[in-house]
Parts: sequence; C-alpha cells; structure tokens
Amino acid sequence: MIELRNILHRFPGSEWKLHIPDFSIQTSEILGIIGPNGSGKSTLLRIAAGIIKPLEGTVRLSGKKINKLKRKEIAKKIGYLPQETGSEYDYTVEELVCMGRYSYTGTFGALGPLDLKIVRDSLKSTDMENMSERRLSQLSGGEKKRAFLASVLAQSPDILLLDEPTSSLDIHRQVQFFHLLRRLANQGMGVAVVTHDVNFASLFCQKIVFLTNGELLSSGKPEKVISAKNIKHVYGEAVLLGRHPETDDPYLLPRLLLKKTK
Amino acid sequence: MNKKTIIIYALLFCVVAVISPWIGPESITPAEVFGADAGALTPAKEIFWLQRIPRVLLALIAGGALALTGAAFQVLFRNPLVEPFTLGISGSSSLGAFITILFPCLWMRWGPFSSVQLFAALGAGLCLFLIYTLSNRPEGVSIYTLLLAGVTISIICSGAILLLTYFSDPHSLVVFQHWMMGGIDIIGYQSLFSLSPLLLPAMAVLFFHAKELNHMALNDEMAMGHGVDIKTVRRNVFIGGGLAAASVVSIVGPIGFVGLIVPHAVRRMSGLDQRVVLPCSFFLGGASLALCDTAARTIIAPTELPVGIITAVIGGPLFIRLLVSRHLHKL
Repeated sequence: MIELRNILHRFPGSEWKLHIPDFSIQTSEILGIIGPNGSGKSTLLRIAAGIIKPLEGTVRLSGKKINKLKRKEIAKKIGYLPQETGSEYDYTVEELVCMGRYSYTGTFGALGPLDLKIVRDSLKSTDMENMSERRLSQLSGGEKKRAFLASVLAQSPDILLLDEPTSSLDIHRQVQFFHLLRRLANQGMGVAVVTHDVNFASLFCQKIVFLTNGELLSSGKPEKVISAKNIKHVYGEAVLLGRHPETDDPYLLPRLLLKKTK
Repeated sequence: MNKKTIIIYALLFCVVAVISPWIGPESITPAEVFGADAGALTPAKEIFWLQRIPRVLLALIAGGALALTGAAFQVLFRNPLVEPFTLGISGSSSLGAFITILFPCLWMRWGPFSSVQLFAALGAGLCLFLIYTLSNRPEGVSIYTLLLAGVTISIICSGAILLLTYFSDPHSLVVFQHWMMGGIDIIGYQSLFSLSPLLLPAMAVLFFHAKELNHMALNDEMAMGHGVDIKTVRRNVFIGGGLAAASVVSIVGPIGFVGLIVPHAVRRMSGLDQRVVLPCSFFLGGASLALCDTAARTIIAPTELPVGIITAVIGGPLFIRLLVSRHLHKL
C-alpha cells in the first residue's frame, strides 16, 4: 500500500502548487485519478512513485518512508509507467521487457529461468507475445504503450502506477486495457491510473480521485465523485452528465455549445 | 547477453595483438626473437620487446579505452555524436600539455610519469571538475548542461592555445603540434605503467554500469521506474569515462574518431545491449587503433606518420557513410 500524508509540492519558479491532505493506493483495487489539464494528476503519481520528492509531507510504501528506500526496492513493489515512454535505442520488445527484471538481477543482468518465465507471462498478458522480436520503431503508438506496460509488469510489482496509459489506444484497445487492469486488480495488484477519460474511470475504477488546480476536489466511489456539481465546477457547461445504459454508472458526453452548421 | 559475440571480438583483439608486433619498418622473424642466444639482447629482440610490444599494448589499451568511453557516453548523453573528447577533455588536456611544453622549468619526470602527461591529466581533471560542478543540480546532473559546458570549455581552451601559440617559439610549436597529432611511439613499459592507476578503475566503473546504461536510453522516469538510480549511474559513468579519456589523452594525445566510430560499428553489427556493446567496443577499438598504428609505422617507412592522422583519414569518411546510411538516427 502507498500512503501519502499532507503532500505539498511546488515547482521552482512557479506559483502553482499541489496540495493533497491524505491519499492512499490500496492493493486489489483500481483507483482512477481524473481532472483537467494542469490539475496535478501526473505530479501526484510521480510523488507516489518516489520519482519526485514533495516539498512537504511523507510518502510511505508498505509502512516505510519511500525516500529511505533504494530505487531497486521501490521497483520491486511499484511498477510506474510514465506518460512519455520513448527510447533513444531501437530495442526489441523482448529486450525492453527483460529490462523490467533489472531489480532482480546481479551485476551483469543475467536472467534466470524464473525471470524468463515472468517476461513471457508479461508479454502474454499484454498480448505482445507475437511481437516480441519486433523493434520499437516497428510498433504503433498503442503497441508501444503495451510493450512498455509489459516491461513494468515484468517487475512483478504489488502496485501499478500508470500515467495516461490509454491515450494512444483505439476504443477497442482501451476496453481491453482496462479489462487487463481489472484482471490484475482481481489477482491482488493495486492499480492507480491517471486518465482524462472520465467514462472509463467511472466504469472500471472502484475509487476515483478528482483533482482540480492542485487540490483534491473529491474522492470516493465513482457515483459520488462524478456528480453534476463536481462536473459543472470543473468542466463548466461543456459536458453533459448521463448514466450508462447497462451499468447505471455516470458518464459524460460533450455538449454542443454552438449552433450546429453543415 | 550474447557471450559468443564478445568472444569473437576478443579473438579479433588477440589476433591483432599477436600479429601487429611483427609488422614494421624493420623486418623481424620469430627465430630472431625466440631463437638461440637466449640471454643476449639482440637488436631484433630490443625492437620487438622494448618498442613493438609496448607500443602495440598501448594502442590496444588506449584504443579500447577511447571506444569504451565513447560507447558509454553516447548512451549516457543520448547523443550519437558524442565522443570521449566532447566534454572538453581534449582541449583542456592539450592546454595543460602545451603549458608544460612551453615552460622548460616544468619539464620533470617522476618514475613513469612525465610532467607533460601530468599536466595534461591535470587539465582534463580540472575540466571534468568544472563541468560537473556547473551542471550539478539538486535533482541530479543535467546532461544538457554537461554537454554545453564541455563544448564551452573546449572553445575557451582552443582560444587559450591560440593565444599561447602566438607568443611561443617555433621549437615548442613543433613539439606541441606533434603531441596534438596523437602518437603511441613509446619505448619501454613506463607509459603503460603510468596509464594503469587511473585507467583500470575508470574502465571497471564503466563495465560495472553496462547493465544500467541499457536503461539510460529510455527516458529518466522510465529508467527510475525500472529501479535504476540514474543520479548515481550518471555521476559514475561521467567520472569514470572522463578519467579514462583523460588518462589516455595524457599519454597518446587527442586521437580522434576511435571513440566516435567504433561504438557505432559495434552497435550496427552486434545489437544494442550495452553489456555486449561496451566490451566489444573495447576489443574493436583496441584492435582498430593497433591496426592504424601498424599502418602509421609502415606506410611511409622508415619515417612514421602520427597515428591520429591515420584514424582521422579512415574515420572521417566512415563517419560520413554512417551519417548518410541513416544509422545514426536510430543510434
């Protein structure tokens, strides 16, 4: 479990600040972090992953202060997939996924049978088995994202922190991706996913954190957080709140503010 | 990791190491070196043991170290055009060497170490310290500031060298120009001994971080997410590579292109895994410089060419070929 207490963070030379009083990421559940651009979603995820140190407040991983842990220890428990996932080298998918086992290997990074099995499993669960020999430059945006996710899964983490993982996927792949997250959560993994897609968050996440302008607006179950009041407060009149016909979960639709012309 | 590939490069290294000492302006046969009169130091034996062997060994080690550093720096700085001397090491060590050559009061020798070598190393060390201090931030070393600071120091050192050139006497200029062309025409093993205290630990640091360097090609956050302590890796590789280049340049002068071309050639032939690229770059770099030096001492025999000329003449066109073959875009 990751616990954040009284987090305050500000970037040098900027007036903007992130202030989160209390926040935790539990195992066996999917937590959605939503909010408009610049609300602090990615910064919050980076702080939770120990990538950046907040100015104030503490982050604990399984009860231990995260800044006292070595990066290898953190990587065994937290799998972090950042928003930008490029590579200067044109690695093959398999080479990339093998890198996920870094924290478990010795000085020269030799992989044992167990490591190779975990690599294969990670490729399989992200549906990248048949593309393991392909180079990153030969993949589409969505396939690349899945390759990087496979490398994160190869870390065998307890908690996954994903920053806009579905931004370059088509709707079919997005549904598949969130089903994969649900499967992982059912197996005991904790998942925190930053997304702009409120509808996917509403449908797949057990808990949602709604941020706006660096502050926590609301957190809890989707039906509580995605309320007409919160939506209007953050997005104004631009969106319409409705109910999913099959699950009755709240969902958003864009509203036509100008007169339609054809 | 492909061990077979490393073994093939190591074999090439060994073959060059065995063959090169027999090639040179004076013809030497194995019978003359290993034949009868075992105790006596014949001219053939003297040439073989005191000139050719140390020279070939120096070429193998210096070329290997330059290529190894180039390979590590290219991934560390995520820039295919970086070579060991990009950080101003060449300029600063040249300035150190030139100052020593200009002032006879500085000509000294302490065991295997000469004052030219010491001042060249001091210049490079000072440069490394300066650019590291300039680019060190609370969140870690900024690779862009490192590169820019290195290029700036190179320019400052070139300016200082030009100024000193203007006021220097012709004899010093000739000596300095010869040093600048790079040379491994040593006699005896003293230079090799003086190279090892700094170079061996520096190269060990680079080999030790080969695994982490694979992750440095990804973005910082991804590498950290995988568990890599990028601040430590960046600092250690920078200092290790810097010291390796500084110790080599202090003895052989600024020999260009080996550290730039060889890592590209290795990546092209043997993949991108740094655990393979680093040792293979060392072996191929060493073999290449030894071969270039063999050419340098034979093509206009009995006179010799500085090896830096050969590496530049061969390396330049090769690099242009790499540029046009799009290989550099993919690193």
